[in-house]
Amino acid sequence: MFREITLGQYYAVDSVIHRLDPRVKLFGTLIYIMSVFMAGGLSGYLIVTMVYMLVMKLSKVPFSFALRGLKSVVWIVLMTFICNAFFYTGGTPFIKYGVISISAAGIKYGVAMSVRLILLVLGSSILTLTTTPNELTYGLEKAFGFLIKFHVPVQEIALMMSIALRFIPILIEETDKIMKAQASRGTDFDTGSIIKRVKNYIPIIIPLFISAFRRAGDLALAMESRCYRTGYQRTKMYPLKYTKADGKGYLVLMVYLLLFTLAKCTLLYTGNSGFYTM
Amino acid sequence: MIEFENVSYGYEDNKKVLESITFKIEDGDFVGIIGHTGSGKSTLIQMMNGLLKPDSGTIRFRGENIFGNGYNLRELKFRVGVVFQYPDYQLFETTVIKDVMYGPMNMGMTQNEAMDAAKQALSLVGISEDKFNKSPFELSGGEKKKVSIAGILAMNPEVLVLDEPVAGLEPEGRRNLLKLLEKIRNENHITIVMVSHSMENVADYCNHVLVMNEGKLELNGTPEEVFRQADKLEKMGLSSTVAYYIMRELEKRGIVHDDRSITMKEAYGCLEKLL
Repeated sequence: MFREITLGQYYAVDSVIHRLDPRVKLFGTLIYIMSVFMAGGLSGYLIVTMVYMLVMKLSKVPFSFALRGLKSVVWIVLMTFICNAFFYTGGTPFIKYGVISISAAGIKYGVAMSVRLILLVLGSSILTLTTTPNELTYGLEKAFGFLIKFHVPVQEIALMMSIALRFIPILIEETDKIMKAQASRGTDFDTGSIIKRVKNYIPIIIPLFISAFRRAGDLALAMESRCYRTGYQRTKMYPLKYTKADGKGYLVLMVYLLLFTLAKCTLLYTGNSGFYTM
Repeated sequence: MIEFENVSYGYEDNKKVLESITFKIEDGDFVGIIGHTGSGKSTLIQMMNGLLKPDSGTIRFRGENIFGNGYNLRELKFRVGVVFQYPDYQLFETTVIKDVMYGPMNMGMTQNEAMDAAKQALSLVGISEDKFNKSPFELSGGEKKKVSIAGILAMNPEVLVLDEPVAGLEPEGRRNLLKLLEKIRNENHITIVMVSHSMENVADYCNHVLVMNEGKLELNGTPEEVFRQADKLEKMGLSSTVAYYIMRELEKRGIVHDDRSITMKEAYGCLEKLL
């Protein structure tokens, strides 16, 4: 019943972006987000959109697949637009009714905010589209490794993340089995009121939790019997290594950041509102 | 009673999970299904109560196509009760009695009727009354298994299908459980289908054996017909019963003649006559 669920949104193809070190991609995502926040107005968003399209092209991920990630935020985008368009008080309103005031500036601001949100979601999804969850975990572990000096249990958090990821397919399979066992006792998942339907899932959730706790206990025991201790420097079977492509990646990102910042400062200084309107 | 006709299902690694399976289970049968892990046994039993739908072929229960138009699949689940291998996938209530009542309540019984059905089923499987109000999670493995079987029996099914009911039980628990199944079959007139890895258990208790191999039904017949084909069974990575091998060896050495025993009991009877 549940087999068809794919894990995360990783899209498995071989591309330049897929082969990059996860740390480069993390850094790239950070730079991209910064540039989205710096940009304003039409030209700024156009540049960011072009950069996004270019990276998407390089990643060989179909655009339609990436668009699916927008589904979950469509309501937030809509709310952002409505809040800004209806309640913006800066401009001269052409419709005013109680607290609601619609002005040209408000609509413009609402559109700009929605575009910004869409660009943020689409852009950062490139990271998860081209990096497997495990790579991402290793990348984060390395990138935040310096936090160990501040007594943050980085390795432990990374381990927790990879264990959680490892267990997702197991739990999905288990859910399938439990659902079948309960369906054999007449559980009806599809009819009745919402409250009744939620109640019908209790016989699924309880065995699932019990089994998850049991598995967690077993795993902890197995790790301890192989002398796992926290707080030691651990080596990796496949340690992350930078390649030439990663160096180039960093270079491109730095140049992009520099150019973007320069462009923004110049335009700010000259007061050109084409680039910066808000 | 249950008929499979040319049933095929699914693909895994470019191989069919089930390939053109045809067999018939009669009223009152004690059917044993044997085969390797991944031979399609579990898929087969999940089709018996309509949990899985075959890609092609027909499954009939009492002459009616269970995937035909307007057939009540939910009601079928009450008539063909399937007990899965791990009781942990089924037990969820706060007390044993409530858990067993879950099926009957889903059937639309009142609280009192369900309570009676549950009590009856629990006493049938041999769970004593002092355990009715215990949490099912405090029970031992064997008791959990019995409670999970009672959970299905309380729905008063016409067929009881069990996936490896004795796996994980100690020898005494195995014997008790198999005796219980025999009792349910004889006294309550419930047809039993059991997946098992033990040739001995199947030979001792079943009257009809199905042997699955790589999605195909390789052998289908009485235990005697099936277990006398030791070569075929061995080719599939299975074996015949211990008693069969002992008697063949004795036959080779000229000690016994024209013997057809496949169970220890039969072999014992044959050897006793020699003494």
